[in-house]
Amino acid sequence: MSLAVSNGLDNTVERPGQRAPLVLGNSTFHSITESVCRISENPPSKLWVFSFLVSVHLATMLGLCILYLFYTGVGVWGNRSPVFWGWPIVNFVFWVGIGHAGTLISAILYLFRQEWRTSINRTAEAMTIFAVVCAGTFPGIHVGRAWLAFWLAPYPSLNLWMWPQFRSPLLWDVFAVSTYATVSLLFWYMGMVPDLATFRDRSKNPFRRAVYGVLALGWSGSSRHWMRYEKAYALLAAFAAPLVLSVHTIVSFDFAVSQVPGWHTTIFPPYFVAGAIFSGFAMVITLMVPARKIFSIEKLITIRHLENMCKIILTTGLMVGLAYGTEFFVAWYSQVGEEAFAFVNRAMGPYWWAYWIMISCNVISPNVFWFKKARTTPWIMFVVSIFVNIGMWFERFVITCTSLSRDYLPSAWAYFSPTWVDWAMLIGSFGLFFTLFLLFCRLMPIVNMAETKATLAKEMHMAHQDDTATPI
Amino acid sequence: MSHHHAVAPKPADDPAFTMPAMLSGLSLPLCVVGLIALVGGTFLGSSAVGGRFGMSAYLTAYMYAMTIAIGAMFFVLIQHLVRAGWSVVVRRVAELIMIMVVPLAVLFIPIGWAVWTGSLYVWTDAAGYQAEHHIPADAWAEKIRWLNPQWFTLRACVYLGVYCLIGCWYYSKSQRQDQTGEVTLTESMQARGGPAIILFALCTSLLAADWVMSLAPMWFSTMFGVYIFAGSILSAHCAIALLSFVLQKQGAMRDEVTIEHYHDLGKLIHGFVCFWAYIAFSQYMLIWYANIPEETVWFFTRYPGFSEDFGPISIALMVLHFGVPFLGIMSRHVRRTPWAVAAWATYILVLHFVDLYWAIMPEATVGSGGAMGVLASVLTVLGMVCLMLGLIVIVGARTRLIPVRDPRLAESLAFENI
Repeated sequence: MSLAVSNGLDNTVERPGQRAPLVLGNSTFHSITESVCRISENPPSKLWVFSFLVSVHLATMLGLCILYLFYTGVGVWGNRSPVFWGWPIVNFVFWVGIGHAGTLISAILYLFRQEWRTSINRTAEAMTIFAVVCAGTFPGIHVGRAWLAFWLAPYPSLNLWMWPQFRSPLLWDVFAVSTYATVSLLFWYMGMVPDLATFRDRSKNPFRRAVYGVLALGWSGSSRHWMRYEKAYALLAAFAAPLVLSVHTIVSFDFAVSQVPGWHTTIFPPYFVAGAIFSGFAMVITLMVPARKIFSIEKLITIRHLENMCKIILTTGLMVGLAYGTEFFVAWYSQVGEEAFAFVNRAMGPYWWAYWIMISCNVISPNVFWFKKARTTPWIMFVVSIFVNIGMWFERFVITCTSLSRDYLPSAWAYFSPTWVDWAMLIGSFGLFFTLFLLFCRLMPIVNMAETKATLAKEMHMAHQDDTATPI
Repeated sequence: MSHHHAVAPKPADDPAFTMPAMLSGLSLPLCVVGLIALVGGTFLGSSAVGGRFGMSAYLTAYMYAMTIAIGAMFFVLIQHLVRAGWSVVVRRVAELIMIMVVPLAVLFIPIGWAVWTGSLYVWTDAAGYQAEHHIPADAWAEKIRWLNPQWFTLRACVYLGVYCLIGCWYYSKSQRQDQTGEVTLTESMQARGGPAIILFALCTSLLAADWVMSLAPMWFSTMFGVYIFAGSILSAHCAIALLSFVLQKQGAMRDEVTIEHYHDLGKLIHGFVCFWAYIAFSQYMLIWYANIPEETVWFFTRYPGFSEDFGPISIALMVLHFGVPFLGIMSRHVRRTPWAVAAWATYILVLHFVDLYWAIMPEATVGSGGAMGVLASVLTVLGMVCLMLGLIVIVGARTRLIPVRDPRLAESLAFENI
């Protein structure tokens, strides 16, 4: 239990009638500022430099692969008849899913007044944006002639004399993902303005001061600024909340509007959303557990924060499990041969291994979070979060590849195999993601100082009341 | 979470926490009138319209009460699971609605009887239905391994058993806390919330498939369980808000349930209106888009231009079950006006009936049954509602109307939306 205890107080224990604190270690406003700002102000650690170099190399590999792809054509991938949607789509859906935790934390948990979001929202939002960058890459390069990718934009093309197909969910995806990216970026940046002003005010280097000065948009912390900030934040949260649902719903439509057995099932929209939140929170855990240790911010991102995220992972994991079960049951109940075959083929066909990796990682592994020990021990949750990341990648692989490789016509069946380019691009996308994330950790305030201080102020106020009034 | 300024709760035996006399006096008449209307409506449907109409009307009324009761159960479970503070003052009202699963388990008997006598579900006449619809023998043989009276009854007993178990356990623990104020009771209710919700989710998903989806035995939709759940959770929040309002009007818990609680209930109702629409739209859109005959058949029987009786209801649901309340409950002002929240809750509760009517009645294949049919359908559900209200008042008269010794009561009393 020692890990759960910080400064003698275990804030994962909450007696009914009392609320456990969210900021630990006798923190003060000043200590919060110090612990967040020093991450950016001190010279980078060797570990950071090493990780950054590795990530940049992998990201470069992605870039080179893309060049090779443009030069040669999409044949460099394993996409062959009948599996025309191979890993690029799998990677797209995987990364878009990861991108859901940020907006869930910043919008939905905000609307539910869940104050534990305050110290994790910044990192989660940043992660969202980087995940969307990785996601957006794949459909962009999957269009074949990538230099004509702008044909996706809804304008009446002068070359073709036609509009894009508005009845295609692929087009809805363009709207959904770009709206999501825009709103997430705005939300992230706007939330950061007060903290960027803190960075500006602390900067000793005139260049740094100038850059953060521009980014801080002249923030002075006056009450008029705060009032408008709060209002804008609430409005953006209200706009962003439906986006959490809509993006992955539309991604699910990409599959579910078709008649491909295993794709066309009505539960897809909520099931995809649950899966996206599941994988998004897993990635937050994967990033937070090491980050809070390396940057010594355990008093701000406490075990309680991690425990809450573990509970969300357990909940959404069970929802995904229920959806898997429902699909299987209805495939049998429907007595439609192709449907039943698609699901039996997933579990026992040539891709049985992928299916069982998915089940083990997504349905079985999160169940360790029934035990408090697992929810409060960072290394255990780190391991489980990696399993969930793997499982959710395989879920998209199972859905995409098994259904396409064997649909209605047995003579058209074929086994999908990825090429080295597929592999390199998947690994390279992680390089891109971590490059951006590591840069963010160095350059930006990784914890929302302003909101964390507000939470602390509230807790101090409550503690003061509890001293004077009857404890409740 | 709220600022909790210490608010001293009233003593546990304060008269504000007992069932108002006016309502107590109504309980018996409500039960009697309700039972008569329920039985009368069902018989009217069977005799005046005939066929499976009467029992379909009974099933609609039954599902109406059941979905609200299990929605309230979900409310109770989730509030414990997330250790909510704001909702404590309305939790007893939710518990009273939840505990109706016990009388509803008894009221399932007519449906069980209908399954064995073949007067409700078409699959009960297995050979006839297969011949009539030219269903391949092997597919049908598999199908009736799931849809047969024995197995159906056994499953129904399991669902009802699980609901009664969860309902009674939570109800009795909450009652005991009223006496003793033990904090450990809250802890054990929290701890069992997770497993209880898993059982709840499994039962609700399968219940929707068994009791409603199997009315059209060859039709299937993986979303259907979620669809029933969406209506259930929405109508339960409405029922909680409405019942709290009525109790307050009669003088109970006037200082405890405040504008803040209505505001929160209003927000949740608005959210669940959107959730219902999201699920309903997704289910319809995916089936419409793929246009596979096995799936579109269900919507064809409800399609404008194909069904004179139910086509308009399909359109009405879109506008009245989503559009109107979406705009109506959007305003903060409305949500902070208790009577307006209660009025919208009533409105949605009516639409919830229309939703279930639309899901169930077309499968009786005799349309709306004309004026007598509509009368029978409405009479049945009104009877069910009166019976349930009567029973809620009877049970409520034996308990306090808020969990008077809940450790988070003070937090709930002081709750403020910021």
